[in-house]
Formats: sequence, C-alpha cells, structure tokens
Amino acid sequence: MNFDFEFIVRLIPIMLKYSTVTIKLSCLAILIGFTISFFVAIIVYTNIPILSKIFKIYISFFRGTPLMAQLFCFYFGIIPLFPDFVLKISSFQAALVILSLASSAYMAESLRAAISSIHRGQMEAAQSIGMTYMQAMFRIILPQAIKVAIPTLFSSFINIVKDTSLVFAIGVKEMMATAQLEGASGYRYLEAYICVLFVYWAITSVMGYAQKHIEVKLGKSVGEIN
Amino acid sequence: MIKLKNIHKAFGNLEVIKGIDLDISNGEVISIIGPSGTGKSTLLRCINCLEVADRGGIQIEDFAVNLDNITKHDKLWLRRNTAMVFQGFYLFNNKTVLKNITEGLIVVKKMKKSEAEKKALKILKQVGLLEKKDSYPSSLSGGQKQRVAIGRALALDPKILLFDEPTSALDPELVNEVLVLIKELAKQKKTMLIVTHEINFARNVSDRVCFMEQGMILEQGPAKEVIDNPKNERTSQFLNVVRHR
Ligand SMILES: Nc1ncnc2c1ncn2[C@@H]1O[C@H](COP(=O)(O)OP(=O)(O)O)[C@@H](O)[C@H]1O
Ligand SMILES: [Mg+2]
Repeated sequence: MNFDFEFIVRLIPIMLKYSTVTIKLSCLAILIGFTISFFVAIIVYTNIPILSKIFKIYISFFRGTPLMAQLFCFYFGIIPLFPDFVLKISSFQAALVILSLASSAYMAESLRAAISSIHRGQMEAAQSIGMTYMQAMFRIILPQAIKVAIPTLFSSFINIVKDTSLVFAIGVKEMMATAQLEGASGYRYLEAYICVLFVYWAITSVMGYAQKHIEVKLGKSVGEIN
Repeated sequence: MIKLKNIHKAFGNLEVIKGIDLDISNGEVISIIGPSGTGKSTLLRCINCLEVADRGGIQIEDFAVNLDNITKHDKLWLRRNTAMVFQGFYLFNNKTVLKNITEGLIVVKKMKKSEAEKKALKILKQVGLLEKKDSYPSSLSGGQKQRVAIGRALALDPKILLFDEPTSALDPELVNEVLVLIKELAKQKKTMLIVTHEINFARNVSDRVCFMEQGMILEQGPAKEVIDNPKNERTSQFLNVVRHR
C-alpha cells in the first residue's frame, strides 16, 4: 500500500471549493435553527397553553428520530406529495429545512434549560418595577440564559456542521459527496476521506476558538451569574 | 392614600388571604408581623400584582382597581406604582449596580439615558453605594445587594414601598445597615408596608403595627401599643415566642 500525498494536495483546492457549500448550509441552518429555537424555548418555558404542548412534541420528535430518516422522509416522501413544488425545491433547500428544524429542537431544549436555571426572582423583580414579561425576558433573563447555554449551543452548532455530511444522501453536492467521488475515481479512498476529515476538523476548530472568544466577551459584559 | 378592600386569595383549595382591609395614609409606615405561612408575603405580592388576588379592591390615590376582574392595564399600573423589596434581593445579575437602577427608569418610565443616570447616581448616593456603581451584583455583600435593591425600588418613585422580610436573608452583622437605610426612608416620609420579624425595629420605625395570622389581621394599632401591650391573646403569644428566640 502506498499513501499518495500528492493526491491529497491536489484534492485540497477541490475540497475547499465544496467546503463553501458545507459552510453556507451550516451557517444558514445555525441562523434559522437558532432563531426558531428562541421562540420555541420561550413558548415552552412560559407554558403558553396549546402552543407549548405542540412545541414539546416538536422537540421530542426531532430529537428522537434520526436525521437521515427525516431527510429521506421530507425529500423523497413529503415533497413529491406536492407536485407543484418538486421542481422548485432543490435538495440544498430541503436539507436546509430539515437541518434547521432538527437543530432548533436541540437548541430550544438547551435554551429552555438555561432559562429555568436563572432564578425566578429576577423575573419577578423586573415585573415588580413594571417591566412586561417580554421586556424582562429579553433584557434580563435571556442574556443570562444565553451565557449559561453557550457551551451546549456551540456543541449544537458543531453538530450541524458534522450533520451536513449526511445531506449528500439526498443529492446535495458538498464536501462529503466530493470526497466520495474523487476517492472513487482514483481508488484513493483513504486519502480522500482523510482529506475531508481534516477540512471538517479545521472548520469545527475555528468554531471552538470562536466559542472561547465569545465566552470571555460575555463573561465581561454579562458579569458573574449567581 | 392607599386602600385595600376585602382582599381574598386562595391557592387551589388553600385559602391564604381571607378578607384583608387596610387603609394606609401617605407617609405612613406600617409593619406586618406574624408567624410564617400566614400569608404576609402573599398579601404584599397581591398589592404588587405578582399574584392576582381573587376578590377585593385596591385603591391608590384616585385609581381604583377591582380585583374581581382585573385587566392587563390595571396590573401594569399597580406594578408601576408600587415597588417591592424582596427577601432574596434579586438584583439583575447581568447588569451593573448603576444599570440595575436605570433599567426601570429607561424601560418603564421611558426616561432618557443621561437623565436616568443622573437620577440613579443620586439614589446610589442616598443608599451609600456610589463607589460601587460599576460593580456587578456578584461582587457585593448581602447588605449592599439589599441596599441596591431598595435603590432600584425607590428610583421609580412608587406610591408605596413594599418590603418582604428585607433582612431575613442577611448575616446578622449586615442587618443593621439595611435597617438604618429603611429608618432613613421613614424619616423622609416614604409610604411603606414592611413585613418583618425584627420586632424592635418594627416598634421603632413604624407608625402602626398589624399582627397577621391565618390570612387575617387580628390586631392593629400604634406600634408601641401593639408591641408593648398587645390586646389579642394570639398577638401576645406570638410576641413572647419571638422575644425568647
Ligand atoms: N404560589 C403558591 N402556590 C401555592 N401555595 C402557595 C404559593 N405561595 C404561597 N403559598 C402558600 O400560602 C401560604 C402563605 O404563604 P406566604 O404568603 O408566603 O406566608 P408568609 O409570608 O406569611 O410566611 C403558605 O401555606 C404557602 O405554602
Ligand atoms: Mg413570607
């Protein structure tokens, strides 16, 4: 067996090119998923009748089923039910929908737990001086809850990046698909997969660095909690 | 002038407040004493609308709230015109001492930031914590936290200040600084309703003392009279127990 370094070197620019698809998909899914999770967490925490029940089921469903099955069900099962949409929805968009929904369930759960960890007294104190529930939530409780939730939120973000490697299964041409293709063309699977692993690792390492940076920054602006 | 009329509150089947009437004049200081679990906190929380009473009425100056069918607007009005000081302080941990006080002024009273800060600095001077203005709550002692919390309540110029056992969570050596501050406020003729177990403090600072048990006010009168010569059997039993602790 000979390990072909040159093959890897030749592969790197191709991987980097397709990493933009991975990064774009990840960033959008993080953005959309996080926004959804915000509202889901507040609704569940506030115990808004009916809605909170619905979103508890939503969280349980997306956390309790495999992402691959969700992708297949949506792309091959649900979209074809609406013939008008089949041509309009790309596999990239379908992947974005499922990644956003699934990740929002995880993030909503960490946010909800973080909100519960902030003592109720601060909410009451804010209301006692005349702030509305939502003012107190957004100005007092959430800034502290987000600080508490940063580590679990970041592991969700990192999971999103890793989960994008599954979406080639519905035909999105991203890094993983490229690795498979290039590996097959030269029978250089080991080199191709090592190359793709290192690019993923580089992306998630940058995220880990960002997390540290944000923790330090929030630590200063939010003050110590409890 | 604040009037509580026939206030009732139950949690499920547990009747906690069973018809409380109380008239409080402007500038009056009233202490409420009584055993734990008799609804003292709940009464304050009903006035501040953190709990919604089941029946009765609250009148503050010309604004009368019918608690039987209270509206959202009434609730906000009551909260904005009354202020609560909690046993557990509950400062906003994500905000500096100064911002704990400006928060309500800016968000609730819609004051300009510069104006709010000017007022907050004045209040901090009053509670003796000017040099802590940029500290976060986590770096304060319990007594300092409670003084900031009193400042936060004062800043909104409430028609009445409600204190729920303001010194019960404090180490003994920190109790005094808080009591001194409350006494100072009494001298400035702030209207206050104070739930406390500090009987001597209640005797010295209040115009009137109410003894509350099982959701009712069993006895009330001038502070020194009630505490030195209670007329109600239950009041004197309670005072004996507290004095000999
Ligand atoms: N949110 C609540 N839900 C159910 N029961 C409550 C609640 N708040 C207080 N209680 C009950 O009401 C009674 C009076 O409580 P509280 O007003 O705190 O008394 P106090 O302040 O005089 O010690 C207690 O039996 C307490 O357990
Ligand atoms: Mg109490």
